[in-house]
Amino acid sequence: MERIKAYDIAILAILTTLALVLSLFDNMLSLLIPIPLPGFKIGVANLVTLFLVMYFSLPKALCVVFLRCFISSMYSGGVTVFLISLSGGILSVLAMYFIKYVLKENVSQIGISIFGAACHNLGQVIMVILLLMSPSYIFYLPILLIVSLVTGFVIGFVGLHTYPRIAKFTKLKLSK
Amino acid sequence: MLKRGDIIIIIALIVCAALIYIVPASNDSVSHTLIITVDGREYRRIDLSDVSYTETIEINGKYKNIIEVKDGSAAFVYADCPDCDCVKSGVLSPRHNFAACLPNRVSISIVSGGSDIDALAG
Repeated sequence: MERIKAYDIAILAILTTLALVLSLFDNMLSLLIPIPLPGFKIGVANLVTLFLVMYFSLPKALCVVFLRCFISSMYSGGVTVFLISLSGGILSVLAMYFIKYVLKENVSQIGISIFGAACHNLGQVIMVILLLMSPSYIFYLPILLIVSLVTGFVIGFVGLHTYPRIAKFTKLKLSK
Repeated sequence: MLKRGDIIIIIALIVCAALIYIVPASNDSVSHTLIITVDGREYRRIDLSDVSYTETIEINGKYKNIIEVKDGSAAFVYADCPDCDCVKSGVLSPRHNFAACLPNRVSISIVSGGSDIDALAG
């Protein structure tokens, strides 16, 4: 088992905080942009998730995503919101590692980000269906998938231009 | 900038979205039923084929929701939860056939013929 160094704990804590701030910012953004889609968000917090996928190992990424969902549901939402955001978060992290591992050199950060965003929505829809016991919610999925194409692209594009700078500053290396 | 894998992912997503969108639309049937669920359990089932039927249903859970049934359709008209996504969803139609108040765990959905839920769940 790899040992967790103090440096890792510090940087993961900073990333968790950053994700929390970005998810707050995301809430404000979705209030500013009136899009007639219930629960629509750009998912700015996924900038952190994507960064974790690119530069850290899977357990560390899962840890940060879990903490983000847990803490953000404490100041807004509750158990239901926690379950929905957690299922989306965990599924998108797993999916991003999966696609990164399967396609390797053939996929860029943008593709990984789009796939992650789509699986994030898929996870949330599955959890909503389970919670409400009504499969009708699946009809909402097509529009969410198309939306995640756009938001995933934006996040991937921003990441492509910001991550190398952060990595240089923190002396992080791309994970395999 | 975009690699081959990215293009494959984008195309696969669009195909998936189109499939989920098209498949359920093919079995448009005549009779529609409104199902109201509270806490995951079925609360009311209303036949919507009678267009003149009008009723206002009030649900008091953690929050208060008012559902209005009229003209063969239904909508959340009032909610006192913080985000009110259910009210923003508007009036249901056979295509846009689902709305929910997640904080209150109340959902309304229109099913055609009453059988496609089982087909989907199966």
